[in-house]
Amino acid sequence: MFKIDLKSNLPIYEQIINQINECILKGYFKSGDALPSVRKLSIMLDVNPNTIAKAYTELERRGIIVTVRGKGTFISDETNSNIDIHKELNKIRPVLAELKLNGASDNEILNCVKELLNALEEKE
Amino acid sequence: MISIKNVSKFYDKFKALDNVSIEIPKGTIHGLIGENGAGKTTLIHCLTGIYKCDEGIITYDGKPVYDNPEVKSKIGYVADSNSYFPNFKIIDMVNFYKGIYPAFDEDRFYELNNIFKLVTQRKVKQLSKGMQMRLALMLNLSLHPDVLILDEPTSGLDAIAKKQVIDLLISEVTERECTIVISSHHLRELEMLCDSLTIIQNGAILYQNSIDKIKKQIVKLQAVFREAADLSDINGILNIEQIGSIYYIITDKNSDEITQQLYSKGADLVEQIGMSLEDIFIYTSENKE
Amino acid sequence: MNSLFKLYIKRTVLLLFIGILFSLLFIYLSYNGYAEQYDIDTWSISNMLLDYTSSCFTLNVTLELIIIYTFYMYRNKKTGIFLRQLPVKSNKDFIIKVLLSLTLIILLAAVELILFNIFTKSLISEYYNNIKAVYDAKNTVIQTLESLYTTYYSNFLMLSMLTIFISSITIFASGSMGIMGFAIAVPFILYFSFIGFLAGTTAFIRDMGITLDHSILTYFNYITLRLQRLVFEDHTHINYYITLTLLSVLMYIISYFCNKHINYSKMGQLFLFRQIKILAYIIGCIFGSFSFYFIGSTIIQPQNHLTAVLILLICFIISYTAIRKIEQIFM
Repeated sequence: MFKIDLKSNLPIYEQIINQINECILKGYFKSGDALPSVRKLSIMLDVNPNTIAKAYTELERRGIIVTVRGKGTFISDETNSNIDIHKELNKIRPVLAELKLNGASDNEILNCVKELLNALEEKE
Repeated sequence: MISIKNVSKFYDKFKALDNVSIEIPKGTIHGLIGENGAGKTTLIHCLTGIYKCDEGIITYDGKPVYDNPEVKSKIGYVADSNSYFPNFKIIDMVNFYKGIYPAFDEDRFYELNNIFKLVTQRKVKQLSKGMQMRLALMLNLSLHPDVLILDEPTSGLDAIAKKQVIDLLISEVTERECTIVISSHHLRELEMLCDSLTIIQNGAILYQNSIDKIKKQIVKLQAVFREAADLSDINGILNIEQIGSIYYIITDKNSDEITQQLYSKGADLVEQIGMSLEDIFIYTSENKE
Repeated sequence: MNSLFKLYIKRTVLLLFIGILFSLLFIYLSYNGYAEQYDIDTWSISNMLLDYTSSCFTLNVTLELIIIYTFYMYRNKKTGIFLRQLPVKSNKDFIIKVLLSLTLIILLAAVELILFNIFTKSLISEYYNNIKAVYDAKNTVIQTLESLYTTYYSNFLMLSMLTIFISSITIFASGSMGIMGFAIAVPFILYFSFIGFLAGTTAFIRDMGITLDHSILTYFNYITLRLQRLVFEDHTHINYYITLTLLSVLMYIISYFCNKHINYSKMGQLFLFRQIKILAYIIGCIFGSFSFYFIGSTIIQPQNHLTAVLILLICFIISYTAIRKIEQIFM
């Protein structure tokens, strides 16, 4: 389910955050679904538990998940989060740069982005 | 939790450890990597109180470890090769541990043996290398250690046993806030498992930081130069490979400054390409010879 | 009482048990050997006592060396890595080894004496009475039974103290050398090389024609005689006891400090301390060169002083090289 790419530029905890976000967007995780405990997920992925804890802490900070004492970690009801759109989109700068270098127009790029957004929300 | 301060160790005139300093916080997993003979096992022997440091000191929560039974009773050490009494049966070893480690929990041992299923009537010398390692792990986990030190714990184990070992280690950290130090050649595993790393070469620390920071510091930059560029005066470049106009530059001092320098030399595009720990280890070792 | 110390105690008890069995064997042999004696003389009684004492001495030294080998073998070989990570204070470990090795000798000696008396007292008394009857008839005075026994006990005590001394040297050697085989052999090496040293110096002095009123020769002869008497003859001189005790205590104290400062990473090397290495080379070269000289001067009888010195020089080189080569095997 979660795939960790060791050659990626992204630290492991960020990869986990991204993949959880994607799963939520794709509808695999719904509001109220329980996430595995830090220990369980750590064992599933063979990843350092502190890394998992870091990912969970960040997701909780963004309001995406919520921990209930004694019960576990769940996907939160709110879909609003205090995520910084500019900061996140900045990550695709290199991709945009390469596309422009290869002659893609702004419109072509924007249309492609729209298609991708649609694909994300499609249920499979 | 574990504090290694300016530790040096000599074998006669040979300096096996050279001014090594590492701080390892409680509840974290720390990796030790280095080529064979780099000094990992020597450092581990100093950590476990087997050797005395010639210079410097190693303390656990402020208490020195050498010849200190109070500290040693809470350290578990799984060596890369077995040094138990060869003629002891497994059950004899359990009783031995029981009579020496105050917190040894016999029930825990048999609980763990449900996973590893060793025959307790067998003698230590009759066990394979992998079984001996599993025995050592079980015995050391059963003494409820605050710190677990492991030297090549997964070498010689099949995939199933490996996973069992790693899962046990993860549980120790999550459930008992155990601090773990692992030395291993399996860099993939370490990359996933460790909070921080120390890379040792020739007895001295080459790099030491959290894995995330190491991977931000030692990077592969992909730069496109339309015209051949002379990069020899840029500081911090470990290696350059060139395919056509694309230069792959390995640096261990990644910063905006290097990127600026590359642009000023005429680079069209500078991108950061991820490197795994294995790649990092290979490039840094080759270079510092 | 932790498992490690229990292990030491188990081994000690085992050796004690073996020792008891052997001493019973010795008693049985004495019994058989002297049950039918044709010599009507107190000498046969004192001989029997002396034989038993010597046998027990040999047995006790052997068992003592075995127990020390066992103790230090755990620490000086591969199992040492395991032992040294254990939460056991190294001081306590050292002290219990010393105490157990001493206890072994003391208990062995006590049991040997007691058992011998139990089984042979009446036999010997009867035998003595027979002898006395014969001598009384001739109106000759013989040694009393009490004095025979006194000599026997003081010999036994002296040899037991000598055993303790040998044990203390071996503990010192085991704690400062990384090869157990050599450590155990140290008392023997010292003893034989010392004899060789005496013989060699005597020969050298003779070959050099040195005459200092023969005082050095006499001195050396005196020492050799003294050593012989130490082992075999009647003596109740308090100096022997004091000297042996002091020397043993000194050895234990030095061993204690070796144990405190040992640099365990040198396991597997012959010499674990710089100081012991220097000492070994000095003593080894001096004793060795004269020992070899004794042999050399017998083969090539030197006709003049120059030849004698030359032979000694060659012997020195041989000794030094031999020690060096042996050391390098284990580096």
